[in-house]
Amino acid sequence: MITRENIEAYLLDLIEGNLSPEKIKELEAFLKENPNYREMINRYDPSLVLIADRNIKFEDKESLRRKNKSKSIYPFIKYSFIAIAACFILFLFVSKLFIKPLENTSIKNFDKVIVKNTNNTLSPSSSINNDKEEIVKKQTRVTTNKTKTIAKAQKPQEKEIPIEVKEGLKPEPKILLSNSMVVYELDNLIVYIEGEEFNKNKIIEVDNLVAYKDSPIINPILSPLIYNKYVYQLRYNLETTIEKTQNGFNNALVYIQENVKFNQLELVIAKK
Amino acid sequence: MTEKEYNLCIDNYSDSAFLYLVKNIKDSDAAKDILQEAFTKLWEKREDVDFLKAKSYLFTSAYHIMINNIKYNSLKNNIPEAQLFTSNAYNDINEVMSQAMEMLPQIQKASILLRDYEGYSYKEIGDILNLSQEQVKINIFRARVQLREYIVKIDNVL
Repeated sequence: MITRENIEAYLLDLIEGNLSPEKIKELEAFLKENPNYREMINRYDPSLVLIADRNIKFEDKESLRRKNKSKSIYPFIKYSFIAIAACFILFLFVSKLFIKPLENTSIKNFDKVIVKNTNNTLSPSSSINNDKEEIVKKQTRVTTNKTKTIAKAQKPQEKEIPIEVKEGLKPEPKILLSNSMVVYELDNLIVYIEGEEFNKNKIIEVDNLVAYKDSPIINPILSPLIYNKYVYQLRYNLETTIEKTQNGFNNALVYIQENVKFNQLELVIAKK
Repeated sequence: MTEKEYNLCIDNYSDSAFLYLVKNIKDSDAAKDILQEAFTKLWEKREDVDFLKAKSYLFTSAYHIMINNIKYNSLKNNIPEAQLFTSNAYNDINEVMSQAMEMLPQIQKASILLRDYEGYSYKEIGDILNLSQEQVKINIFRARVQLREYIVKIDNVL
């Protein structure tokens, strides 16, 4: 129903052509009764339309942007797994580098060492066994890098002038005070037979083989080193020839336990 | 409405909603705050809001937030509502229409802006402003009549 309160709405519909014929008749009747409202039609200008100023922009759109929490958590979980995996791999890598020497001191690895004794002046088998036990005990205390193991012994036949040991080869004092020959970082195979001249061809890819003579008097550190001719030769070849060959033999020294006498010894350390 | 659609709303509607608010209250800082609040509300209700109706929802929210702010500031500062948001007026005194708009009551201004700027139907404007179609038509009719009279008056002065 058209009233004075809603007449503008009907006038607007009339101007915009949205009135039904029935409503137009109703409007005409209303205006006939209220002629003062007729002039309102002329006061209305349908062409007067506001034009938006599109230069006005909201510049801070980025502050409005959102991300679903569930989705944002997914990459976090995903990358967490990657990070954990990376840490695990890193741990394995580090373990291999630093824990490996302890692993290699296991009896299993030690058993790879074969000691043959063909001409005993003392009780070689018992000595070897004792050595093994002792070495196993001592290896648990090893703090140096890549200690591998075994004792081989032969009394020095002639004394050579001690040669200063390379600084980098110095083992830990605990090792030096042992009664066993210790071989450091022996990666592959070495065959060493007393009575024969040192044959460099029998030394294959040995790294940092250290052997030295243990003496309670002159062995506070590593000075009692290399009185044995084989040891000397070994070291000599190391520092002159062998180190430069393709065999990759590096830094080999031999330790001889003073009170253990083997006339002939073959030391084999299996390839790891 | 998905996250992607919400962000699409920002791209499509933030400028027009901001303009609508600025033209209503003549205060760009207040308009920015209101718009951010309106988008926050849209985000919170995104599960219930259809993307096709997101624009209406946004304008509705913005309008009601704006009205609430006007009423709140009016009560707080004991200032008539009509005088609020005019201190930082959108400053273009040569723009006669802008001046004429300032003369309109808030509800007329809100109605005609939605009609002319956004092209909403009377029903849609009614939904946004919580008015009947008849009330919307009356507001727009009266607003256009007042604008015309103001412009004619200025023309006579010049």
